[in-house]
Amino acid sequence: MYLNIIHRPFAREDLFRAFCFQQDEAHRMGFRTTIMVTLPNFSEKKIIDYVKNQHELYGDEIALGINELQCREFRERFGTEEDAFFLLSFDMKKEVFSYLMETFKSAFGFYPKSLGFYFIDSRFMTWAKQNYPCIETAITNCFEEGVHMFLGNKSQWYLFSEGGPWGAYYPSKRNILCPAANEGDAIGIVGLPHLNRDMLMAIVSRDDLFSSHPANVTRGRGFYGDQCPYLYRFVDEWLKQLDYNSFGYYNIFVSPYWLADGYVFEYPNELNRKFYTETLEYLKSKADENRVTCATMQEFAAWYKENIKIDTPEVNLWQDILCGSKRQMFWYVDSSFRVTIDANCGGSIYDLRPYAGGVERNLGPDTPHLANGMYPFLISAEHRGGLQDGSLHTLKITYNGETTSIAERRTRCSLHQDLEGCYTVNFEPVTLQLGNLTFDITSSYRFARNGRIEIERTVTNMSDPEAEITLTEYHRGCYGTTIYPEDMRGIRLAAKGTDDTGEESLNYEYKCRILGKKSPEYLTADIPQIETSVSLIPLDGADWGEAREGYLFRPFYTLSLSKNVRNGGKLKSCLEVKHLCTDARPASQGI
Amino acid sequence: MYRCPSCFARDIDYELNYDPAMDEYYCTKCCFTGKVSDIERYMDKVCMERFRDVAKPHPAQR
Repeated sequence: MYLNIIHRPFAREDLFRAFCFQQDEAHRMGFRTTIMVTLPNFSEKKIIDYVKNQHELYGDEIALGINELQCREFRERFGTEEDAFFLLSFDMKKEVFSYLMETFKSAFGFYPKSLGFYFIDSRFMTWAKQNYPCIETAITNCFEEGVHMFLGNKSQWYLFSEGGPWGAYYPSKRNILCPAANEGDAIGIVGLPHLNRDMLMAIVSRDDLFSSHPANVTRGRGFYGDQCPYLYRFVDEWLKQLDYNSFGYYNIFVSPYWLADGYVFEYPNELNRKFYTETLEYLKSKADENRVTCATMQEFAAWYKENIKIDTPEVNLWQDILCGSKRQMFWYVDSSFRVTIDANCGGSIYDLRPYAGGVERNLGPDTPHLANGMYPFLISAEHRGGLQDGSLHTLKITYNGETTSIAERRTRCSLHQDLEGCYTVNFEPVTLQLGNLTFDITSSYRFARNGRIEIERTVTNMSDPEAEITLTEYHRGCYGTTIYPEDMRGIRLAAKGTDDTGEESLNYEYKCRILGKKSPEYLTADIPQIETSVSLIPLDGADWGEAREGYLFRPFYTLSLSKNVRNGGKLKSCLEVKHLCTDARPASQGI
Repeated sequence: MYRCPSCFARDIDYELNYDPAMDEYYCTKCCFTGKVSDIERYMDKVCMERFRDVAKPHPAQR
């Protein structure tokens, strides 16, 4: 696992002391750092001299941090109080960035290869790479920083970047949060997350409290007395991901504000420094075991470009390490989508971001989306209801007029990669009961690439071997980025049977209409608002299919496939996500 | 500076105000009111109930 340790200097005496503490601790462990120099630093000779010295003495990388623009020079030179760089207009981004790059070169004699943002849009990043080809890598987003974080921070931190990859990736020119599909689609840099997050708490709680930032964990009260075993388990859990992926990426990026003397919350400030040191010490012990390799950002980017092909899928199978819940959350990402499956919902899709749509989300007052950079979802159980009659992809089971769902039972899962490189996540059986009938359902999801997920449900251990039950693959979607519904008008639902009756369709008008087909060939929802088409396709036949329109009190669309089965029976289907404009109709055969 | 334990329990960081006349803290977002000991007890209870593995030792700990 590659480790980046990133520090950011400040001139104020207590902050500078905290920054020096961070540098000294890293060097004491034998680690090199990446120092993010920011605009206010350029007028501070003390900082420039110190950074140059650290570069020469230890080989630390000097990079450019764009996060800190809060200084009089910025306000006077650029005439704005908008000091969140990612929210400036495109023209002003270019102007400010060019000034920062030239100032950096004047100070150090070279342009930086690594940049630090909290978030940056693809339009600007594409321009920056074209005009400064020296840029190799950038921190491009904060994983799952959005709705929960905003509410938790008194609605004062306007950073909306939910829906992106969690690790290193090649950002797309279409949208910074989409991994590029190919060379032509790639901006040409390596995108990095601001921090590694707890892959369970980041979605069910706040990403900003449970991360590779030890002081964030303190703020989230993930410690006990003067001990924080969570931080050790956090590193362990990221190392565990090496079982499933060919590499791992981990970073620590703590502003000295969190370690300075004047930092005040209701716990002793010394804890932040203690936990910072202990985290580095633990990573050092893993480096000694050759499980962690410390590099600067540009070194990691060079390794990544050499070793990782564009559109290599990444997975994460995260186990709760804090709440004692036994909950597992599985994540998959490639250029087609990011999929999150919750074992606590019996192995149901909890969150789905359809990157195949590649919708633009450039930010600033000159853009339609203003401050909202979040990649839209088709499913967000967290924001849009989930099990409680909201968006979710699951399996329903009906017997004698009664219906239940696998989401009613929690389970566990494991991960397998086949010779083609495709990942399959297998869920242990859930035992369900309808009337006097009990049975087990086993689920698996195979990520077959090109936006296709092959889903298999198997019934076993029926208490009555002669009984017949109906399995219904059930996809209940919508689109949006927040907890509130969007306008569903404009969505087109379609259904086609395997007979020759042709496709039937309807335009969404909140009228509860149903398109039903015997022996369905496919069911589709075309969602022009996010340039996405999603289809549910039987792989081994189905008895009945429906595309169902919602209504204002339940503003979702539903695609479902049903099949009657006995003990040992299966329902196989494919959930397919495509870009709407180019290739909306699913292939009917050979999926 | 103390955060409201009631708001913290619902994932919100919200600083408490202090009333010197009553020598107690109060929240302007919810209706929590209490002394320092009340805050600490509430916060500890929230964290211990919610983060059940928070004290579970790790072999690498000093």
